[in-house]
Amino acid sequence: MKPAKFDYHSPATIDEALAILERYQGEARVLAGGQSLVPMMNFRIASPAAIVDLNRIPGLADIDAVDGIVRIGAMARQRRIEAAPLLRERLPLLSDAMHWVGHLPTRTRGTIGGSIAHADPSAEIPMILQALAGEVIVRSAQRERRIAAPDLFIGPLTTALASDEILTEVRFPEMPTEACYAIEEFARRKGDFAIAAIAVMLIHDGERCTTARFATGGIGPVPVRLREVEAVLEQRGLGEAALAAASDRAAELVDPMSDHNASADFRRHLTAVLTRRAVLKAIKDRPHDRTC
Amino acid sequence: MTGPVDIRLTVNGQTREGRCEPRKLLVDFIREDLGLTGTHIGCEHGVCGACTIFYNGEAVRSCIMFAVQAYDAELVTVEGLAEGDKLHPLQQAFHEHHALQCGYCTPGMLIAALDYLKINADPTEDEIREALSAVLCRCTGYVNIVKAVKAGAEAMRQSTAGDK
Amino acid sequence: MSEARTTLVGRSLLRREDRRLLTGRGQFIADLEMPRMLHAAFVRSSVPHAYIGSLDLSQAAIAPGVVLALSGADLLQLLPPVPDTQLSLPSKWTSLVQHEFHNPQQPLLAHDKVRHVGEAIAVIVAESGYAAEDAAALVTPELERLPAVVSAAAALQDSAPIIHEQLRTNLLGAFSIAKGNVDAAMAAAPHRLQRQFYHHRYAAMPIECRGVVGLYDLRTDSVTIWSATQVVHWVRREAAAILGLPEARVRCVALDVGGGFGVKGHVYPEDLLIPFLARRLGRPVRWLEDRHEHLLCSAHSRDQLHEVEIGFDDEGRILALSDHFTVDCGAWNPIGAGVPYNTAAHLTGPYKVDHLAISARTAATNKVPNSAYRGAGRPEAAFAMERIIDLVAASLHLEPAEVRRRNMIRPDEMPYRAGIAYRDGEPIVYDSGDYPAGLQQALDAVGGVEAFRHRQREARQHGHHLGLGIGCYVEGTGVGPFEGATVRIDPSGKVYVSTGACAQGQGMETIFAQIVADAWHIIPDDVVILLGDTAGIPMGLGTIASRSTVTVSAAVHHASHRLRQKAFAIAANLLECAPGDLELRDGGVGVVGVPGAVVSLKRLAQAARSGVGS
Repeated sequence: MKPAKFDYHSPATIDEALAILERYQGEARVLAGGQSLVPMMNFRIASPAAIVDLNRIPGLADIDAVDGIVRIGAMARQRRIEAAPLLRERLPLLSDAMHWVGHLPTRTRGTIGGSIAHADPSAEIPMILQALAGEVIVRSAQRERRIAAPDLFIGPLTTALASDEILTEVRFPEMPTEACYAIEEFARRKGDFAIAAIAVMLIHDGERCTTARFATGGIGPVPVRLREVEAVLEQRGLGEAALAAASDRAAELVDPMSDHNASADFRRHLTAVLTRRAVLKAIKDRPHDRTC
Repeated sequence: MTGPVDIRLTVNGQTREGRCEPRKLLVDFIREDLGLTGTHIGCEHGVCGACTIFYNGEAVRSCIMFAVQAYDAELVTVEGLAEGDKLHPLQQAFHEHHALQCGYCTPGMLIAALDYLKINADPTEDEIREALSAVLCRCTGYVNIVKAVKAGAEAMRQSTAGDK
Repeated sequence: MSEARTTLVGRSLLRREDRRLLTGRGQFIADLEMPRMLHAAFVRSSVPHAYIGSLDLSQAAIAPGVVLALSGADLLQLLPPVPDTQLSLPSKWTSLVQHEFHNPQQPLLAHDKVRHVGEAIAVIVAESGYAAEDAAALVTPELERLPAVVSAAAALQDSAPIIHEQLRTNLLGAFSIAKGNVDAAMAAAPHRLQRQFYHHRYAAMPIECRGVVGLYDLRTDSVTIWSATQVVHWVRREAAAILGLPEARVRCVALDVGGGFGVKGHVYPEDLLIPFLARRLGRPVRWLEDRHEHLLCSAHSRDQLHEVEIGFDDEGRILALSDHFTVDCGAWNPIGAGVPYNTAAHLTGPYKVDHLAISARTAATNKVPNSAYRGAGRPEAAFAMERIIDLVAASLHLEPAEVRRRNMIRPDEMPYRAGIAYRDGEPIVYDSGDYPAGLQQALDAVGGVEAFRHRQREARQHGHHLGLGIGCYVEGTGVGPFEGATVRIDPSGKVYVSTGACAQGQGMETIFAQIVADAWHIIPDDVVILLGDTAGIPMGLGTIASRSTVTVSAAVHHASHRLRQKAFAIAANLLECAPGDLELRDGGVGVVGVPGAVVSLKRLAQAARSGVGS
């Protein structure tokens, strides 16, 4: 399984990269981490006429936090995101999510921008983008625009990016210091694509929940933020009855896929189970009040 | 450029050069152009881990990188782990704990384990199992590999030779 | 007198294979480099069943780097097709067992029809693997699709599309065996149960895929084949036949093999086509299977449906057992009767069954051909038997372990004549074994079955389900018909052993060195093992069915016995004593009770040479 021939470009700036993309009119693909693209090319499922390698462009992998917004360059490696102290402090849900993404060797190369742009339905990072209401910065030769998470994921492996656009940055609002959070995932092996995953962030005072953020991954064709489930938790709290109601509502709301890994019914069942587990795990890790 | 590109890189401490099409996979370049056949091909889509090597000090799957991406990089392959006749402590541990049968996944297993030990030099058995799930082994059932990594980690902690 | 030597067999030695494998210096088929080597890629069918219309290779033939593009039709002109042959079955078996088998011979490249997704219809040979794959992508075969048959049941219906049209049936094989009078015993049984058991299709998936390198030598008109195979002598035999060369001019070698598990245990079309191409082109040719191809067309296994009926009494004792099973063997049947007959021979396992009827049907379908995979028919039998016994126990509300115990052959009944023939036609005799004690040992290891049932009941009250699975089986292993070994003492003093066994990770270089070292009272470092090379020994069978340690150690033992007589004769001459006064010791042969009177193996080997002085 060897890839077909392609023109190889390794530009030194993002502007150069965008110009090349525009020139090829949709026949060029951008190479970030390559952990999804190169396997597809080896199978010859993807045989682009040209590859635009982003790996030599400086300044695309910075991580910082300004005015309550965490900014992560699209080329930041998953491995670095996992280890970054700033993210552990300000965006711990994303740090934790990295443990579930592939395996350590794939995280060495895989990037946050690449994962989001590839939009595999079972990927964890897009789910976190939804859960935390993040957005991406996207550039073409003509313009730069911001796309919020709900508008970004259109279908399996399909985002709102045009073929001449490059995702350059990912932004998240900082997680409040009192927030607790958890991810629950069901996969064949740790690191395999999620068959079903739930990400949750909560701010609570005992059983009273003031803020809930809830998103799914792996279940339907795109990662989804379920505001109605958030509402159940915010209105009814975190007791047994509320958890049961939230789990049921989540199971009702999802649009599960059926494939060789799991039937739609099983995914629906997993949604309910993982919802409950994720909320309980989040509360347990941070029982009452984070300030100590 | 579809035509051949020049590659210059360091492999196991030595400067190496080559010339190949941009589409040539890094694993093929290492095996064919550099003659280092210790790195193996098992799947060519980044799933089995047999092709795992060190790229600038971190483990990568060389079957899903292009050789041209390794320009100026420092690679370490399985051939670079021993020092002359002296096995690396992890290789020695694999030997003593019967952690290989056919040996096909072994190079990838060694590199992936060493990579993890850089992050966590004293892992629990569960942590080792999770790290080793990055490489598929069809022969051993992993039990002895886990033991070998535990023992190798201990030997490495005690050694002053420094880690690779 | 030397100290008593510690025997090595029974001790865990570190492996001699490890050093090269740990340091990246193993030599697998993909590591073999030859000057001017060409690379082959196959065009494979993407449909399961179709007539092959036209195959336009013109674009592929002129693609960069391409040296040859060959279709199945082209190949037919160059290589006479191998006619469908009688399946070679042991004559004793054929006289005892009612059977019928067809053996359609798979062409090296499909020319009339494709019969499974992945079947090769053309081969491209080029200067690099990349170029060969590029060219293969330029071939668009015209395939006239036929309805696909994807289950054994569908294949055996009257209206089914026929896969091998010359046979007019998809029933490739059938046999039946019986013992006692099953109909009468079943009718008289107080209880009867019927059940269907399906064992799914299985894929071996070694981490190393297959691969073949062929080399033709003009000077000696001979061919060498390197293959990631478990059966070098079988490959050699088929290749010699197809290439029209005497076996002495064909050599097959297996290098380091990255796992086999049965999938590399028979001859594939590529094993034969690649050396043909090498001879035709006068350059070495290499084919490396990639994972996609492996998933598509390396053999699968199992895929058996069993219809079991059992008659039993109130105590759960088996009075009658019948099993009619169907094997979905895919588009071709490379292993013939081997796997299904294993299933039949192993069905009753450790249990006494006086009235038995087993029949098997092998059906062709448009799937990848089946061959052996770890167990090769035995797990399918064990599954059916162990399941039906559990159902018997459940129906009588008896403890499943107890029902097994009641039906097991007892140690005082050994040797036990099972009453049916083994695959070689010999009657199956269990020579020894204490099956009830074995079962008890297993149950004791989980704390005893009563204690477990107690835990199970307690857990159920809390909504937790604990399960206890019991699987008992008897495995006929170390299968024949033979394996060989040559043992030779080299003038260096080392003992050289060659055998037809083919390693895929079993540690044979270490194991056999251990065995030979014990046989000759030497150290393993002084033993050299040659495996997997037809040049090392003229006849061999290969490594399948857990047979090599058993058969090779026996062959080594016998060969060593003969060689020892020669060695003692020479030593007796040198030491001026009788052979009866001698023993093996200290890496040589010495006079019993006389410490100084010893001559080394090295000296013996040198003395054995005629002509030139030692």
